[in-house]
Amino acid sequence: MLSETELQAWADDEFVVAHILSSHITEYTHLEECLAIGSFAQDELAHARSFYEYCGLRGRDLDRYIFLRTPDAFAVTPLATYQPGNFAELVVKQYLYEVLDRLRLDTAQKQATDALQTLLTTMRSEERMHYDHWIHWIRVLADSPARSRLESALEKVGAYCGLSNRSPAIWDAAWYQQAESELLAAGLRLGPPETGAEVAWQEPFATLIGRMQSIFREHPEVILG
Amino acid sequence: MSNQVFEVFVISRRGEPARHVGSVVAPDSVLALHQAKETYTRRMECVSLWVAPRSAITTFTQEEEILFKVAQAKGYRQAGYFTRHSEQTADQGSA
Amino acid sequence: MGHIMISQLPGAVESTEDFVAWVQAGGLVQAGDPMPESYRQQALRIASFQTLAELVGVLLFSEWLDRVPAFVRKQMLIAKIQDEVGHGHIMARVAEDLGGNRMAILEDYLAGRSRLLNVFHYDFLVWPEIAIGALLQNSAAIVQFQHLVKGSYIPYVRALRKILPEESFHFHQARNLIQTLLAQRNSLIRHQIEEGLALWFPRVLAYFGPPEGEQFRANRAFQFRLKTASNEEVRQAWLTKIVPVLESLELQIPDPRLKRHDKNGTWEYTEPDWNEVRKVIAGHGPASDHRLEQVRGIYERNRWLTELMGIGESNVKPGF
Repeated sequence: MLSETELQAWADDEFVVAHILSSHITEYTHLEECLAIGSFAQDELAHARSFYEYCGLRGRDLDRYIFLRTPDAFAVTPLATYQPGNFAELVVKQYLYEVLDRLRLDTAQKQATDALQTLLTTMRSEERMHYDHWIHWIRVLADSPARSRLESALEKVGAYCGLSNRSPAIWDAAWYQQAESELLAAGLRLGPPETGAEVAWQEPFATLIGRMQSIFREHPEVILG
Repeated sequence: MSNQVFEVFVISRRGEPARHVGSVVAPDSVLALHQAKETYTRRMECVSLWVAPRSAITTFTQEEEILFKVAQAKGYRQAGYFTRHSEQTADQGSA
Repeated sequence: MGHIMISQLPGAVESTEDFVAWVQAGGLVQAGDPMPESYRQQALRIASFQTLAELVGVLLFSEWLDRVPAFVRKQMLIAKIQDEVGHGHIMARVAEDLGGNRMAILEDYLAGRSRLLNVFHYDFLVWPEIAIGALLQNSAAIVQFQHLVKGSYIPYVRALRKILPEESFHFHQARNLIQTLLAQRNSLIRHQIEEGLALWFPRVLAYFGPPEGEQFRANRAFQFRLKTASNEEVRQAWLTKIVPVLESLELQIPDPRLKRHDKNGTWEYTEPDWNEVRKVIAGHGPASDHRLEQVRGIYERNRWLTELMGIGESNVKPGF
């Protein structure tokens, strides 16, 4: 059975991925792609909300949960916290995240009760589209003059694939292997996964959360939105 | 890798014809499809979507559009013609 | 000069004067129709101007996206920002089909060849200011588009018809946020909203442009029926729309001269300082440099992808 802790951890990942992805909506000039990014960010945010609400966190309680927890209380996968520096890195991050999500969905759907199944079914179809989109971009970039940018991104972001912070370790190996073999089939090399110490993700994440919570914390007793 | 313009057609409800809604600029048809969905169907009821490269669409020039004016000589293709025709031949017969 | 019939297509008219008469009599121009070069240029100028406004105007709001202090409001703001980028996209497609392109639109702005509307030369300094700023900007855009939608160039009109319902949605979103904030009965928040109104009301009043006098009828855009109303007409329509809304929110309108003598009369108001407005538009507003920086950053960061895809090139053929 998928525990509430695991669901909330998954929700934290979806939330953080959406939060970072939404900052790319204004990275023009491929406007059509910006619009797709906008929809994907909303999809992920809606998944997060569904999970939180399933665990009983809604409305004001949910706001307090999001905006008053310290960064180390977020049960996030380090990859989710990665802030892509360019579109190639965004493509790689999102692709890797979708591989992880498919593994989680496979596991979750085997264990879930009826109430959760509906939620997961919707999620699966949306994540399927996201996955198709990102792997397609990987192929497009691989066949383009920007291949070297893609290769750098795979090297850099691949390092985050071995670091599941609180998810079951079983997903780490499967996650990396799955992504690695898919990319190999496209003639690409995924950067080697690092263990916890090598990739410094906590500090940038703490800064990100601090900024995200800053306005709420100015007036925590009042509804600002 | 370079762009093409893709025209976008939306099917609002099952059984309805595909309707042109605009265009997207994309490197290929898969991306055009994904992007068109998020560009044109965010708030509209939609069951499916087509994209087609603009270059694949053949049409008339503006001068040729004159062909669309229904010529008098082909009035027999319209239902009301037969009533008018009967009235005319009846008039001629009695004259 | 022959008698011009509406049933004739624009290609059938032979001179620009005949074209003007045709358009003035109600003629509509479709994508790909033959048109005088001056008409194409005017339509392109208008579509490009609006593309820039949508793509740059949204940055005042996107800056706050990472700090929205409520989950559901965050979802709403993402949707709004996506919509505005979508408006920029629709307008960019109109411009591109007239022979323009989205890269050139941004490049012209970065190089100082084109100007940004006055309202985008400012930033929102506190969270509640966004709500009131959005309400005023949105209502102004809605009223302006309601006039422009009566124009002669069909692709542009169709684009506005898609944009208008979304702007209306944003208007209600903004109004809802103001109501939520005021309902908190927090004196600091109330003060910030009132201050926001005091700042933005004169800016949006000036957004419609200075009164033109009757000579506006001689402007090409008006002759071609690409614009159908004067600046003053649209400003008056905006006041008629926004004043009751602000009154219903129990917000004091910060213009002691604002009044009209009867229900259908002309509004009187404090004339904006047009010299000041001109200076702001020329790039001397408090956020003019910041806006340029933001756009330059976006442009430079994504240039490799843009060039890779040939977005800036003219292989995106106009027409259809």
